[in-house]
Amino acid sequence: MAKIKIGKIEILRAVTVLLVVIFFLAAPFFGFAYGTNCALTFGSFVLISPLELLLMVLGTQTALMSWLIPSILVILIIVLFGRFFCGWVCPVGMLLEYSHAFTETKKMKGIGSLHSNWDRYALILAILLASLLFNFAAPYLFSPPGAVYRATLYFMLRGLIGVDLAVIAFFFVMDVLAIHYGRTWCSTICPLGTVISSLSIINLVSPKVDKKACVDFDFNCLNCERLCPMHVPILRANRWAMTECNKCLKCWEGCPVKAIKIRAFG
Amino acid sequence: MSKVPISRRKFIKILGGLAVAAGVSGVLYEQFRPKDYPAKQVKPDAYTQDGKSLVSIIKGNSDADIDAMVRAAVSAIGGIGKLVSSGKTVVVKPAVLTSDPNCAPDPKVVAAVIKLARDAGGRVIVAETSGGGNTEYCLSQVGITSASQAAGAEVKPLTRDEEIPMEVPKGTSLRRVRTYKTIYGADVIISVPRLKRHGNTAVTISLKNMMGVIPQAEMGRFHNTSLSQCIADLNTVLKPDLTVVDATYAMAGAGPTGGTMVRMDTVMASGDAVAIDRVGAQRLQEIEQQRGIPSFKVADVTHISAAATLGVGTNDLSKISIIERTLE
Amino acid sequence: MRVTRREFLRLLAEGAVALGFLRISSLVPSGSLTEVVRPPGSVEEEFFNTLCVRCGVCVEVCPTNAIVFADYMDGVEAANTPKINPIIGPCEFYRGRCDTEMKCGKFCPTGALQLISKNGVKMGTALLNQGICLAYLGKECVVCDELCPVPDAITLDEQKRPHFHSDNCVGCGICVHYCPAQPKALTLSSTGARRVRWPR
Repeated sequence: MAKIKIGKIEILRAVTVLLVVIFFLAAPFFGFAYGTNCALTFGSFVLISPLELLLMVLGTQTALMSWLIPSILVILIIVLFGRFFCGWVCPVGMLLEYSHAFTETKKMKGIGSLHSNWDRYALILAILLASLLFNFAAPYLFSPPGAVYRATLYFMLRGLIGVDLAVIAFFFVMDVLAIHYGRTWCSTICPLGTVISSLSIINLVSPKVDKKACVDFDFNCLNCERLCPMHVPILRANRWAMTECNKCLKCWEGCPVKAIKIRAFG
Repeated sequence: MSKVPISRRKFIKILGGLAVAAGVSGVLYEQFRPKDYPAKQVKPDAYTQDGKSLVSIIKGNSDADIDAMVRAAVSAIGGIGKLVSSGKTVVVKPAVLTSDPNCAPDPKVVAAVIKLARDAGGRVIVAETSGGGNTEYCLSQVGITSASQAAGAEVKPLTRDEEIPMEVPKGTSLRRVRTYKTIYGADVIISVPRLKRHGNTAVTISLKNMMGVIPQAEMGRFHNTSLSQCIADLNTVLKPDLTVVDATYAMAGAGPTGGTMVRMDTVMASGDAVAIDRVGAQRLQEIEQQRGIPSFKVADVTHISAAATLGVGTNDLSKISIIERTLE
Repeated sequence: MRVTRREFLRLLAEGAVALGFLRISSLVPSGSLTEVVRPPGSVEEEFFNTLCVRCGVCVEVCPTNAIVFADYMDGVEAANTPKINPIIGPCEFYRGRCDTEMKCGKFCPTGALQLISKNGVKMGTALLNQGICLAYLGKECVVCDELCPVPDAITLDEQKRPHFHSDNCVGCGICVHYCPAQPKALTLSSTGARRVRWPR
C-alpha cells in the first residue's frame, strides 16, 4: 500500500477543521451559538456569509443594515486573509484533499494553470441573475459546507434526513472524482469560493518565491506548483492568481530549498 | 444450472436439523422475550373504620393554612404512619396536565404531602407524565418542581423512565397496560389531584389522576377504546394508597381546562380513591348549584361506578364515613 | 481536463439560468399546491424563500421541535426552509412557551422570521376529519378541546363532539399533536395564514 505523506501543517489544518465542525455541532446543545456557515448567530451577535448576503440583496433588491453589519466582519477577514476558509475551515474541501492524498504519492501530473478561470465567473453571474430575476438562489440548496452542517444537525436534533441527502450524494460523487482531480470543485466551480477569492484584495498571508533561492527557472522542479491543491501557478503568479491561495502552506513545506517565503511573515 | 444430487439420508438429516433449530429457538424465545409484568399488588384500604371507608374534609384558610390543612386531613383518617415507615419508596403523583397552574394542585399542597411522608421516614419521588405538554416544562411552570425539591423530594418526569408492560387481570376493556418502572417499584402511591370538572368524565379527581402514570401513547389508547372503563380497569392494578385532594380552589363549570375557579378552602384525604371521588364529585356539584354554574349528575359519572363494580373501592355513601372539620 | 471542466461549467451555468426560466414558465413547480405552514412571524412567501438562507437556526432553537425543513414536495424554491410539523411538535408560542419573544423570530439572522405579538399569530387552521374523530364515532374524547389554547376555537355540542371555528383558530397544531385517533383526525392547513408584510 502506498504511503501517504502528511506534513505537520496538514495535521494542524485537519485538527482545526475538526474543531470547527465540533463547534458547529456542539454549540446549539449548549445554547451558545446556532446556525451553519451560511449564517451563525450568537444571540446578539450575528455573522452572515458574503455569498448569502449578495443573494439576499439581489433577490429582494434591498440592502438592510441588519444584514450588512454582520457581513462586514466576515468580509473584512476575507479581504485581509483571503481564502483561508477553504483551507482551514471548510470540511468538504478538507475531505476532497484527503481523498486526493491517495494519488499524491507520485509527483502530481498537473502544474498550476495560468489560464484565467472565467468560467466560474459565468457560473456565479448566472446564479446572481437567477436570484435577481427569478428569486431562485441555487446556492441555498447546493452550498457544500452548508448542506453538510445542516444535514448533520438535522439528524442530531430530529433524527430526520431531509433533502440534503441528495446534495450529499452529489458531493460523494464529487469526492470520488477528487481522488484523481483533487480540489477541482474548490478552484473551478464553488460559488462561495468565487466570491471569497473576488474579495481577497489585500491577501496578507500569501506565498512568494524568492527567485534567487529557487533552483528552478527551467521548469525542472516546480514542486510548489505540483503540491498546490488549488492549482495556483505560484512561481509565475501575479496578484490575481494568488487570490486562489487557501493558505494550506503545502508549497512552503514542500520546497526543497526553502525558497518560498510567506508574505506578511517577513 | 446443473442440479446438485442429494441423497435421501442427507435430506432427512437436514430437515431434522432444521426442526431442532426451530424448536430450540422457540424455547429460547419464550424464555427471553420481554413478558408482561404481573399485576402490581394493591393493598387493601389502610384507612377504614367499622368496615367503612374514611374520607376527611378539612376547611381552612387557603392563603395561610395549607400545610396544616393537609396534615389535619391525613391525621383525621388515621395518619401517614399507617402507610409509610422508614425506608419506604413513596411516589407522590400530582395531576399536571398542562403548564397552567389552575389545572394542577397547589405546589404548597404537594410540598405538605412530601414533608408528611418524609417525616414518617419515606423516600419521596414526585412522578408524573403530563398529557398535554412537555412534562418537565409543565412541572416547573406550575411551581411543583421547585416546591418539591425544596421539600426534599426527587422530581422524576416519567417520560424519562423505563416503560414496562403489565397485566391487568381484572380489566374488562384493558387487559394489559404500559406503565413505568418507578411506579411499579413504589411501595406507596399518593395521588394529589385538584378537584376539577371534565368534558368527558364529568369530574377528574383521584381515579382519573392515575392516567398520569402511563405513557402518553397509552393515554391515547384509553380514548380509543372506552375512557371511563379503562380508568376503572387501570385503578385495579395502579390504585393510589392515599389520596389528598386539593380543593382550595376547584375548577367548576368546565374542565380540565378553561373552567371557573371557585374558592372552596378545602383539603380532602382518603385511602379509598372511589369514595373520595364520589364525595368530591358531590361537593363540586353542590357548589356549582349554589353558584348557578351549569352542573352534572353524580350518578352519571361512569368511571366512579365502574371502579366500584370492579372492587377498587366503594361509591355507596352508606359505606363511607365522612369526617368534617374546620381549622381555627 | 481543461476542456472537460469548461464544458461542465458551461453546462452548470446554463442549467442555473434554465431552471430560472423554467420556473417562471411553471414547468418546474415553484411551490406545492398549498402553501407550507410556516412558523409565526414569517414574511410573505414571495420574499421568504430569498430571505431564508437555510441556516437552520430556527430548527435548532424551537423548544417544542415544531420546526422542520421543508422538502422538495413543498417546491424546489422552498426546500430546506422552515415549516411547522405539528405531529413532531406543536408551536406553543401562543400558549406561552417562548415567553414574549418567539425563539425562531428572535434568532433568525436574516429577518425571514420576524417577532410578532401573540395577537398576530395565525399560522393556518386545524381541519377536522369527522369520519375518523373518536367523538363522532361515539367514543369518549375531547382532548382537542381540553388542550386548545384559544378560548373559542373549539366548542362541544350536546353529544360532546368538537366543532372547529377556523376564524378563531391560530393554527398552532396542539390539537393535531395530541389527537389520539389513529390515523389522526386533525391536520394543520395553511388556509387563512397571516404573514408579515415585508419590508418592515
